[in-house]
Amino acid sequence: MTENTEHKHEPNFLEYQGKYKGLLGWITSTDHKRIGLLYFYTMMGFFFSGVVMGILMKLELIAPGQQLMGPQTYNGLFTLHGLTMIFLFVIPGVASVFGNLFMPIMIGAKDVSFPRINLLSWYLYIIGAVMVLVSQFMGDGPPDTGWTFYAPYSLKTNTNVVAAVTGAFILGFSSILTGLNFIVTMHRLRAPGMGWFRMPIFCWTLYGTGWIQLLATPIVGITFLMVIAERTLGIGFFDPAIGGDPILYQHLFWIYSHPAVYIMILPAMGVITEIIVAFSKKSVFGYSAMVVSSLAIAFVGYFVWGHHMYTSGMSNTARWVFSFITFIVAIPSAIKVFNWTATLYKGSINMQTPFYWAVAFIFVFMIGGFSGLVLGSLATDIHVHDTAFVVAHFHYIVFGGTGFAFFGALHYWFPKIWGKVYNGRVANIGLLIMFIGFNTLYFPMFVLGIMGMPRRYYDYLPVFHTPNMISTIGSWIMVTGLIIIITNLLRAKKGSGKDIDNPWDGKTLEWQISSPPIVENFTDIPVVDHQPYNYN
Amino acid sequence: METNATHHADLHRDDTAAKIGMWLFIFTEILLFGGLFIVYSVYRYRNPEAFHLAHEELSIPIGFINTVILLVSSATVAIAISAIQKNDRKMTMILLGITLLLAFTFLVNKYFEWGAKFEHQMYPGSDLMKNLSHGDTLFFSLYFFMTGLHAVHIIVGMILLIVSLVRVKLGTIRSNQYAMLENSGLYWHLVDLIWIFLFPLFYLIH
Amino acid sequence: MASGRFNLDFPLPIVLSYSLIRTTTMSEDKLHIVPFKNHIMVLLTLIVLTILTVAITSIDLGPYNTAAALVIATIKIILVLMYFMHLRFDQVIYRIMAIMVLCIYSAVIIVTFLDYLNR
Repeated sequence: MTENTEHKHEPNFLEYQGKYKGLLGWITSTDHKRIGLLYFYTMMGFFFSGVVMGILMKLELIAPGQQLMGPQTYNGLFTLHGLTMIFLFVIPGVASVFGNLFMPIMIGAKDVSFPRINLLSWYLYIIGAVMVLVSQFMGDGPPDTGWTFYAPYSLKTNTNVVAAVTGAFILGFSSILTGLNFIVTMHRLRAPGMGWFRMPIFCWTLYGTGWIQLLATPIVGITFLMVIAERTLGIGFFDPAIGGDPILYQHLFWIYSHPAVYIMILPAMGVITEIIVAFSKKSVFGYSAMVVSSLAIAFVGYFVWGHHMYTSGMSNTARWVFSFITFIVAIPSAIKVFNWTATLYKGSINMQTPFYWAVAFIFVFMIGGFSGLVLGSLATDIHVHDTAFVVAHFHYIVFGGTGFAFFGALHYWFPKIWGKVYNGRVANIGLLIMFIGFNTLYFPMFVLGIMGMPRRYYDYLPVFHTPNMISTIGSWIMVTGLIIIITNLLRAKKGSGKDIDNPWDGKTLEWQISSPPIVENFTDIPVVDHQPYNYN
Repeated sequence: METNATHHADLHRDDTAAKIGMWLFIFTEILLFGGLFIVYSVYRYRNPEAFHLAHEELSIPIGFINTVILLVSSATVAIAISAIQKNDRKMTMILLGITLLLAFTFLVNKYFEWGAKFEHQMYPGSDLMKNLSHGDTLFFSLYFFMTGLHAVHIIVGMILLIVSLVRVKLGTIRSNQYAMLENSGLYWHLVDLIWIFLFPLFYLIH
Repeated sequence: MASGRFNLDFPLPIVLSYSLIRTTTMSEDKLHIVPFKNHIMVLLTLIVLTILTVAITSIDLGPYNTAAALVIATIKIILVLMYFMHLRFDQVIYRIMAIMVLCIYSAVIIVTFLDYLNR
């Protein structure tokens, strides 16, 4: 079903020139593939600015005492770092880039249901991102509240909370519209024969994610609006001085922000499934279980938010209920890990770069997941809440999880998107260095947390020195790996034939079309008559 | 087409997609106001007497009239859909006109209600409010914020209905092409739904 | 399916998946026009219920006042959803989505109150 010969008459989506030429043609394009790349390029810029912020923070923490900056600057840095990485990178992340690029193709469609709204989503992303980043330079400086903006401090601080929160609100809109678009697309535009249970797992995870984006984001949206109203109009909701309850702010904030982490991880898990299947040359073990567990994570994930609030002053009943449900939500994630392993078993393993990313993902995701059990369990959480242990946990899960899946996806679909071939050996070396750096950077934080070092502090007691120093050195190693990885991709060479059309023998629809794809993806809409991963 | 019609859903026009899309958007709006209802519930639970006393400042008759206004406007827009399905363009436009008139009346009522509050210093941040209890401040913060946000949605709904009205006149909405009207109607019903809860929660506290 | 695999896939009914497809794709084939009268009847019911709400809350029933007002409001919501918003006559997928959303939202409020009721 390859369309190699036909596409020579048609320009691919990268070179296509429509009504507008050059850059203007890109930023006015409603082609889901171009929009995916618009997200990608801008997102990488934001990611690297977030990396720089992280490096600066680690530099400050290399030794006790002040190195480069005082507490106010440090507070602004960790707030911006969190906002940038969370709202500008991992939440849109895999879905907005690879979901946009490939979900329509994987279901046999020519585009999403609402292409113009898709472009609007990207515009809103850029506007929101700019607002968040510009908040550093306006008024009294970047917000120093942490990305969580807890009341009442966020209501009182003189720093630029309103700009940052308004930016976040706009970003929320972008997220909602993308989720809406993906849901409708999967309902309406699946190719003939592509029943729901013939969709690739990646699409299912995007479907579940879409519902979370739709139903959770408005809650944080309204919460941010209330914060803005309280700061600008004096309308009180969370200020204890007028009877407000700061814990209510936390409830509302986490009612979104916990499901948000499933927005981050579900598409990532979807990508890992695709990679493991392709590199085992074997259909996924337990397709139905993978579907149900994706939806279960999305659903149960709505009811665990209180595990961020065990020490806030909530009632005991609430605390143990949240702890109980938190343990429940770990089960579907574990099911996925078991199914990935079972897929690999007796598979014909293709040991190339995307596979190594998937393996690295499983390793760090499991460490992150286990540390999540420590945090989810009430008694142990009391000890490690607001310590470096939490910082280690979420970096393992989010950076190791979504981040690694993002780079894995990049290496998996690279030939398909750009029609180029990268140097596999250098890519693997880059991954190895990054992996070593990653673990050196974050693992000591588990130790520090148990030892009692608080998070979000620019200074610490001398007893915490050695692990911190190791951690900072880890950050340098990790960034070296990142630079190697990115440089290697930038130097990829144009390829041809199978090397770019289907280098990994993938069975899903995107591998049956030319690389890079033509604008409408298919010359004829395919008719699907088999399961998505039809190996033998 | 046969069993699976998705592939002939013309990318340039898919009425079902538009309808699903509007429903999904309505769900986000329900969750948006839902967050505010959570805040309301918590603070009312914690300040029962203050909420009761504060609510007496509101006029039940005006609230009742506004409720009926919105209910009737929902009915008129629903009937307008039936009218366009029968290709009765004149009736459709009349009904949309009535809907818009009712919506405008609602806003006028709101304007007078709010005006009265401001005159009597019953708003957050006023000198009077500073001397009242926490519950009062919370009640009025919620009152202004929620009815204000609701009013914004009324304005958005009116814009959608005006555009629909114009398109009916121009003929771009007709009996075989009325997704925009149908979806604008759905949005209008949402505005009504929110008010159905706002009314008892603010005006009828015992 | 590859041979030698453990077949632990639990069999979800194919009927379910295909019926869901059909409900969203065979969109407007049976055009359903609601008679004007029906909408008027629903409107009158809604107005009566509104009057009822005002009446009930003006007499003192203690904690049942709030419950009564909320129950009546819920009935009104259901009427608007089913008739004005056409859920009664649309494909089942719309009702499923609406019910799911309302359930999730209700559960979130209930879980939040697990905190406040027990402080």
